[in-house]
Amino acid sequence: MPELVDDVYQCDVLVVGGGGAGARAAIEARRHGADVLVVVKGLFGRSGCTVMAEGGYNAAFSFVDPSDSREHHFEDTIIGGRWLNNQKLVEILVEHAPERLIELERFGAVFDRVEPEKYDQRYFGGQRFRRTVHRGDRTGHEMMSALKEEVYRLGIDVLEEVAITRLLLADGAVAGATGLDLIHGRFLLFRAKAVVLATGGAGRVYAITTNPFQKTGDGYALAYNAGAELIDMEMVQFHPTGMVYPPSASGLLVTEAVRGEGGKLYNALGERFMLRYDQERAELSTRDVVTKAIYREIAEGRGTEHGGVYLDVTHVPDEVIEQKLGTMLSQYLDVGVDIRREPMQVSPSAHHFMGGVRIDPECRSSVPNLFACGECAGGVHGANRLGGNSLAETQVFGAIAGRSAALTASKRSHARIDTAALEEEHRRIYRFESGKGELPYTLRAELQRVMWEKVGIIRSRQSLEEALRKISELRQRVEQVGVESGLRYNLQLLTAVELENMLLVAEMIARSALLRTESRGAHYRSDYPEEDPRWVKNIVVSRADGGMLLRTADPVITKMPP
Amino acid sequence: MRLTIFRYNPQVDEKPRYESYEVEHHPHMKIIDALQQINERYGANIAYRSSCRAGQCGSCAVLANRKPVLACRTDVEDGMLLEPLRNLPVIKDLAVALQSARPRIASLRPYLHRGGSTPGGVERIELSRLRALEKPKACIECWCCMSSCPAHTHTKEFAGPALFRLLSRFVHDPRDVLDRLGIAVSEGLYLCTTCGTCRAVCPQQIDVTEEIRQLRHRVYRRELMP
Ligand SMILES: Cc1cc2nc3c(=O)[nH]c(=O)nc-3n(C[C@H](O)[C@H](O)[C@H](O)COP(=O)(O)OP(=O)(O)OC[C@H]3O[C@@H](n4cnc5c(N)ncnc54)[C@H](O)[C@@H]3O)c2cc1C
Repeated sequence: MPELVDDVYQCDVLVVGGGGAGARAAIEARRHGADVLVVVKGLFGRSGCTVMAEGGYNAAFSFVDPSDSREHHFEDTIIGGRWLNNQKLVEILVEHAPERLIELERFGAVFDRVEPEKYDQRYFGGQRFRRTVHRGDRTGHEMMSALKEEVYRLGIDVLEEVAITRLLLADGAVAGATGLDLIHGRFLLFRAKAVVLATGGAGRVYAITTNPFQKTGDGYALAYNAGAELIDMEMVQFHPTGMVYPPSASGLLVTEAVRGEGGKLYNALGERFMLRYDQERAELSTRDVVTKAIYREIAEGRGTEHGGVYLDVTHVPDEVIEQKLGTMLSQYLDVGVDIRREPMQVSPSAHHFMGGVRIDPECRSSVPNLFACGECAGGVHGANRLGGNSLAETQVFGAIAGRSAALTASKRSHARIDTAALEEEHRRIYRFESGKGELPYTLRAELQRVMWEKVGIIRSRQSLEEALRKISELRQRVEQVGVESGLRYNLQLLTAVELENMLLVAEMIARSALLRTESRGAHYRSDYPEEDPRWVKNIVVSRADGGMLLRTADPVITKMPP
Repeated sequence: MRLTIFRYNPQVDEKPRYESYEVEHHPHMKIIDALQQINERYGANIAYRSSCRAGQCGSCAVLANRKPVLACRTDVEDGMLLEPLRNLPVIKDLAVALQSARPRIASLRPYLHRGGSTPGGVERIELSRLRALEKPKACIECWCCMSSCPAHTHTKEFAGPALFRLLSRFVHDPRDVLDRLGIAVSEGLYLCTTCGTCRAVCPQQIDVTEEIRQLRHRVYRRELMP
């Protein structure tokens, strides 16, 4: 064991992340005989988006609307994603989503039913049929509890409050990783035959977000630094309805289920404005459309006193609100608003990353022995994700990644660890402790602010170039960041390490957004406001000697050409 | 406004101390916002857990004026005293070793034990059973109840409300066949005083006292009185 390492863990498959995708990957890898270790930056099952997911899981069971089908689910997803989706991955999603959901019940979950053998399914934006299976408005929590039970049943090892900081390579293939143990302050080495990245997205690079604190895009940075390709990084979904007031609640999600259950949007003049933007689907249009509509209403002066619009469910029966939207009810009661009696005030909030590590149908990245799944992977959602497709994605692709990783691991032995790389990583992390300068928080706040203002819902060449200048200024200032040295639960040190990842992810988003000279799905350029048919292309980001390399690639189209 | 916070790093400090910080208040400011502000403004590096900010992950429970609450859902008040949850070792400041409860949870065999083979397709579950599972499954494992339960504080022979909640989640599940009542008895089912503190502090309004009463009733019906 190299001297500077405090402890070494060895396993066949290392799963990075303990949300829905990571847990599902671990289960599947274990079922295929692999010795699995799950490493989680926060608490297992409680530090990601999965546990917060409210609305539900898309699976074309056709229990409520008999005319729904997997074909329709496929079509809605491609239309919603504006043809940037990898259609092979979407085929897999719609095909496997139902059986993976049933499997969650095998593990211990239960979902709402209309009859003892038929799930209830609700409307979600951009879907022509009621397809979204749910458990009240705490669907993700129900899933996560079941996954945790299965992880217990299989006796899978879970290491909590350890952030993976770097992937280690041997001959161009992944051979392990380093980790920072928050509880004891240890520097850890993980030796693994295969690694699955399931770290979720990076909502935290924005000032206003629905995401938990841990979502700083670590997996994107890990993959990038290991040489893997990422795709569609400019495609960031801004959820139309986040809380606007009070400041402490700013950004918190107001689930789409509110509109699915009949909620209506009004501006300060009392107009049901969505009818102007999408007469047919109105409130239940796709998220990109509703987000831009709300943004415009506010920008053009028709917003509420706190800078939002109204979302009203007062016409919905109290029992329905209490049963189907209980989480929303208490979330607003906490700030003194009873949604049974008065409308909510909402505005957009950074929510989901459609882009991520580029994967093939086996969840392989472009680097050997490295796999990705869940929100950390890209390609399923194209330019705009349909609500409810992500929870399905975590299960469908989590299982595939777990199986692929186990199969790969079974064919290899542990590779030698490059001590020079270990030393370099140790230096990189602990250099912050010798710094005398700013706290990482200041820089983080500046980054979040510039991303929100310049790389947010509305972008332009000018705003993106300004953001890139700011990002490179912040990168210089990172060298002066100084944190307290102390082993236990050193949040300053963790924040500094996260900040470097956030800067990298921010640059990927801004550069990709600058290259895409059109508007499509979640990406809107005020200087190129139209969708351009020549841009049915993915933008692929990777690391090159001189810096970040961007190229375009044709999306995988199997059966639905634009 | 001023807050007083428990500071302790068992690795270097002989004993805990209390420090006060000035906080710039805004309407409905939650405890979590205050902690973040203190760390950002003063470089205090107070250790605390947090994740979702929305009462869903159960990571951020602390004692506020001696009462366990979720830091993300509770408004700060002038003069408030913040301390770590009780009945768990302190890692540092407000962060406690939630992980230390894991072995005991594992010993409850906290996963479904099905009898016979599992059916293909969607499983038949009666709607009334679904409703009965709602509350016991809403637990976010924040450990507020574990921190305030007098019986659990007095003797660890009583596994504590959260663990009984976990058992009752399986008892209510028509698919589970393991003898959970036997486990409940050996985990101290009869040591609960039914004082109702767990119910009073639960942010999910789960009536664990009632769950325990029902477990006892089921044991009684099975003539398993200790
Ligand atoms: C509030 C909210 C509501 C949502 N509702 C829905 C919905 O109703 N339906 C739907 O389909 N989708 C919904 N989504 C989106 C969906 O929840 C996510 O896309 C999905 O759950 C992501 O799952 P995941 O497993 O990929 O990542 P997550 O669940 O986010 O888990 C990521 C994990 O990685 C860990 N991690 C991060 N960095 C590191 C590191 N460096 N080292 C180790 N571990 C690390 C984290 O601690 C965490 O455990 C919602 C999202 C939010 C935020």
